[in-house]
Amino acid sequence: MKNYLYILFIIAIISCKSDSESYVPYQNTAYILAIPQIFADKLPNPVIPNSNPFTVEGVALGKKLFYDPILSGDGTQSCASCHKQVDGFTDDVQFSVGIDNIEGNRNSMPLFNMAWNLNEKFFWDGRSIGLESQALDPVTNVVEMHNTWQNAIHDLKNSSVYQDLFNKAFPEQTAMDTNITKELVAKAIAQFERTIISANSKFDKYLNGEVNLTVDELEGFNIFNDERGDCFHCHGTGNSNPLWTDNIFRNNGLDAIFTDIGLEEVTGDPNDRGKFKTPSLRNLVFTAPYMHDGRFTTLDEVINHYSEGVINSSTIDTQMLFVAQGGTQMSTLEKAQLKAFLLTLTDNEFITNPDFQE
Amino acid sequence: MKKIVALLLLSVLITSCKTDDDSEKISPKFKFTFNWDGEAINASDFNAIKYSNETGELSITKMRYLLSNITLIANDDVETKLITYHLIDLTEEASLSTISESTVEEGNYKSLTFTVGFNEAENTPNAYTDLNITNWNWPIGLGDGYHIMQYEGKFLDASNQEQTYSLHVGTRKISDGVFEPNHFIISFDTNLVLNSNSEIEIKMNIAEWFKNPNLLDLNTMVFPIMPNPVAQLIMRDNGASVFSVGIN
Repeated sequence: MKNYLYILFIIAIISCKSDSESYVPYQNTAYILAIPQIFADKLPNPVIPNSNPFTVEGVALGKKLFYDPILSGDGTQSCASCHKQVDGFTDDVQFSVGIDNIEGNRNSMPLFNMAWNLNEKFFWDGRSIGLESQALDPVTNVVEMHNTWQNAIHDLKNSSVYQDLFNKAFPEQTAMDTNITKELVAKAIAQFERTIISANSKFDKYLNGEVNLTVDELEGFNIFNDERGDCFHCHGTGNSNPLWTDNIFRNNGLDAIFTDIGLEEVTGDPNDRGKFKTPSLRNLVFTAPYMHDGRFTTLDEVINHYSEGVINSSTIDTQMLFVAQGGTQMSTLEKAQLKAFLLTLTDNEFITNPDFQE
Repeated sequence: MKKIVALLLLSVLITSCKTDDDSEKISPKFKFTFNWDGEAINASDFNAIKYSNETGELSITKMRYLLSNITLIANDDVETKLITYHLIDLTEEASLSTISESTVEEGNYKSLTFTVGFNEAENTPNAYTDLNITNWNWPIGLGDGYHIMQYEGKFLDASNQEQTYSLHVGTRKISDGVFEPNHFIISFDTNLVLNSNSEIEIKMNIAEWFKNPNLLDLNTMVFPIMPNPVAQLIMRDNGASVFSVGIN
């Protein structure tokens, strides 16, 4: 009799096994990031966290989320509202306007080649470490998407498509409790953002021996790399670093007194006052207006700033060697040649690449 | 009984066969430190105008330099390259120490040498991806390759006004298309005793950049010095007395 009871007990245990325990996770497909040859030759490997490996399904989900206004408080704005592909994944206004019609106080940053930001500090003030962390911020930012994660997750769970997409993108994580979480939202968006690569400008083609530069463009390159422009210490020598930035934070002489203290807001160090992330020079033609506060409408204004508009302050970057005279004092011709060179950093294919489109 | 004795004898034989070649191999650790005439300099000392020399008061805002071919020379003249190259940034804690790429035996060594910067053969343009991404490259028009040092700060001029200075060292441009390497080799010919706990400390006395053998006056220097072959030579010459080495 005891044996019968024992057998019944075993049967009961087996029959209690839930669906989740017998769940066979979806087998997603590893996404192979296509690294441009010029990056492979000159840069270290991109940052791909072990905690967020690339998958085809993850990238696809990230792209859908990037373009879907479902993450915003009133369902009207997506990441792409302020990061438009046609504008080099920024927008064309000084300050983006959030769902409540409130302006931010910093210019929307262009998005490309972020997987090679090896210090992993994102935003103009570097307040987020890692793309996964960065992607969390705008959703709850009161002047941007002004949502709560509770609400955003609720909406995603109630949609007809997202549960399946999350299950496929993150089968291991979602199998146990079929949850969609803010962390998985951020992981998916980060995966998509890492695929946004720009590496096919005229200058890239010049380095590959595919095209020639004009005389003015070449002289502009020389100006960029010598004391007339003195651009290379922050943006690289051009032939060496195809990112056109070192992603370091600097005070580039915009103001004597800072209403926006930049990096100091994050570090608390007065020596970081007025320091902002050095942006890439790629795709400048698409990314106006310029600087962290979008104060310059045109590339000419930017060049004029470095030529004669640099303002001294206690935290001015010591690579701004010509601050005492207001800048490098370029001639009109030199400015035109420098601009001609900078325009060779335009990657027209990038802004129409269907891989990045909705 | 005979077998046991034979085994014991064999064991003794094997143990006693340990030769000098079997002495413990170690991977020496390196530590890179900075001082101003003996006073330690750390990242927290940056930005404040707190150092003085013959030319006035100054601060430090950046100090990066590159060493290559750090090599240990044994008493029998066998050379072991311990480090291929290493970029030291005073504000990057991780760069202030490293460990040898090769192992050496514990014991006495007669010399440690290294190159400040890359030598001409190894100063290959764009070849080092980790350096490219930190903008360590030297411009094509000045000879290409990589910086040797980036040292920056502010100083008080005769009017007590803060001025920026930038002492960047690299290939010398003699004239258009004519360049000369500017790296230099430091050799410490002194008895170095290394064991498994040893740490080789390479010290830079930043004050020495200004005074030996050339007096360097920031008030009269014309910046930038990168395209100035005379200033580059002065920096190289002054670099000879900047370094010292210790075993901790």
